[in-house]
Amino acid sequence: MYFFFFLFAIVGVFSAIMVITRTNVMHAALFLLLTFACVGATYVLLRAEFLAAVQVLVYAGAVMVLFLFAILLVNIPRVMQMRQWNAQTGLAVGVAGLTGLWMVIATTQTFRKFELPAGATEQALGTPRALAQVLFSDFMLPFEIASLVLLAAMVGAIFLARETASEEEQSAPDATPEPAGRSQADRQLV
Amino acid sequence: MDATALLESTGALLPHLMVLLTGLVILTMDLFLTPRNRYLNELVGLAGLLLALILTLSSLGTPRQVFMGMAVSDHLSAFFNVTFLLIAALTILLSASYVRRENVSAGEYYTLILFATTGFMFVAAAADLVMVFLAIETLSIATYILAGLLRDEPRSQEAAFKYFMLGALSSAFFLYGIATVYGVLGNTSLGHLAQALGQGGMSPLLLMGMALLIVGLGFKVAVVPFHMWAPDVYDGAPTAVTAFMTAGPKAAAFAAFLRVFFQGFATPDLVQQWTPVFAILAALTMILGNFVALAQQSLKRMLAYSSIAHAGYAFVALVAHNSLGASSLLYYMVAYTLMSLGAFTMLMVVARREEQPYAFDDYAGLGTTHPLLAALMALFMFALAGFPPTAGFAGKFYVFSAAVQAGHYGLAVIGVLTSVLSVVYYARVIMIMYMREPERHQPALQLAPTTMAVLGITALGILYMGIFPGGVMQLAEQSVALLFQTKM
Repeated sequence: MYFFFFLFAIVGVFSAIMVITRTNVMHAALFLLLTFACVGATYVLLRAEFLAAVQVLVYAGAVMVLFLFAILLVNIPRVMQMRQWNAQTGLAVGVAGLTGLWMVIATTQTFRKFELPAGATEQALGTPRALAQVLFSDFMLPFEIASLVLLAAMVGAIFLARETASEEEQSAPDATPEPAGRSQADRQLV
Repeated sequence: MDATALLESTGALLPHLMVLLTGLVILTMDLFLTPRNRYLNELVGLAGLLLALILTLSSLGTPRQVFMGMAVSDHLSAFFNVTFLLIAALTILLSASYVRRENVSAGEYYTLILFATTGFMFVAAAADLVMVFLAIETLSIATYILAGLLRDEPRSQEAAFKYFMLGALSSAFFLYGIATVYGVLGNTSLGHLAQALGQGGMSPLLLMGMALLIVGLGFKVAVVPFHMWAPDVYDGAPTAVTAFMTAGPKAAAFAAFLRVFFQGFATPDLVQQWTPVFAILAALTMILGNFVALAQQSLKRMLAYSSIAHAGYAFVALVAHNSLGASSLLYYMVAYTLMSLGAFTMLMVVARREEQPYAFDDYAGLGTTHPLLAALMALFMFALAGFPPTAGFAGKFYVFSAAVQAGHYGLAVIGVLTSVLSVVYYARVIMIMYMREPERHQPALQLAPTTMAVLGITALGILYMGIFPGGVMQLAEQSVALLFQTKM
């Protein structure tokens, strides 16, 4: 069990680092797929089968397909020549490293003194049945608000991707040219 | 949860649902509107907000937890609801002429404003860290899009992109904080948190979770050093949206601070841990915000830095961690809403078109050409600087007295000194308006009735809250009373 955990953890972290360091976006995307797979495998080890299935289906499946579609629109050779790091890279790595060290220390310090509640790892918390029960009782309101988050994002995506009114006017053949902006603005109420 | 509990829970959150419903109605209705009856958007929006206000006031009663302890309906959430509804209503009014002028599609615009408002209201009602997170996400996603409203304007696009990237990063911090707290205590409920901490559950990992939560929320409030995004975003976003952003998300993030740190991490030993952190953040924010505002050449950017500085003053109220501090924070939020929305509306009126750079010179001679507008602008500037008899003075007075009461003399001194400093840049606007001749002939400004309504409401509100501060302050005191009862 420990062996598999460390296997997936190390491979997952390694491929996550590769995602952000590769200059070729296609390689980055493939390493991201590996990261998703490792996270999914970790969920299985934690006996969260439903989450593992969702992780593979939604992230490694649907989200990755969308990523690859987007990458098809990117001019990869040109992107590879773009600068990937800026002057503050060293500082950022230093701060991130210290924060990571602090997390490791805090975690080991805490769990040396504290015990997980008895049976916490034995309960089948991650089965579809257990998850559904919690989701539709305790977490019903957050579940519904999550749908509001998605709706707001959807409205926004359509709003940003849609043709604007001025673009429509331009594409229409009989569009009347706009009068000079300034005089029109003067007449408008503010 | 059985059917009656479900009905009761839904009943307690009716104001939230009303705002959400109004947003959905506008989204659908806009499809059928012709340019001639576009005004229905604003009308329906305002009617919905009014109904939500009535529902909020009628649902006031004994505080109760709803939806299995996920949300609360108490006086604090009611006070914030009213504040948020006021912000949304004023934003709709001030946007009415703006969306026509800038040719923005009104349906989505008002829908997103109302979705964001729903998010604000859920933040104030949250009783669980998961709820706080989701509500903040709702309001954030809506405001990211609003910041990028002007798609032909590169600065607006830059603002939206920057806000989105840094906002997503701050959400990650916040979420990691929640995960850490859950890892230590096995629960995300704020009530449970307070209970477990009362039995001495403090640990290094918990402190780390708390620090991550401070970072995540600090980004939303834009306190130094998490303010980097704010000047560019406030400067680049459409002015009507900037007005909304300086008031709404900021007040919502302060509501989250009250819920998380005054209800969750509220045991004396933990308060001792976060008070010095908050004090440093408050001091840095007041100093940096005011000093950098001095150097600005664009009025919009100056107001952006002034907004950062005001977040610093409000933060002092959190540091005080007493009843006066919490109630003065609520008072300050209402006062700042009025001042900020008023000032940004004036900015919109005088600048007319979004392309103009909002230079101070636009205001030269406004005192002779438009005496009434100049007087209102002077009022907003005096209020932001904190002169009596405006709400700005009363707000600062309460906040700094709370700091003194709690023994934070240093912070109070920094606050007063930086307020004095801020007079320099606010007074500059007033001097340019009254002392300089207009540089070129300015055509007369014709104000839309909706814009006049915003200016009137904000100006009267500032004066009322400044001359009779007792009324709002008393309501604020009643609203926070509960925070300090449950803690002891």
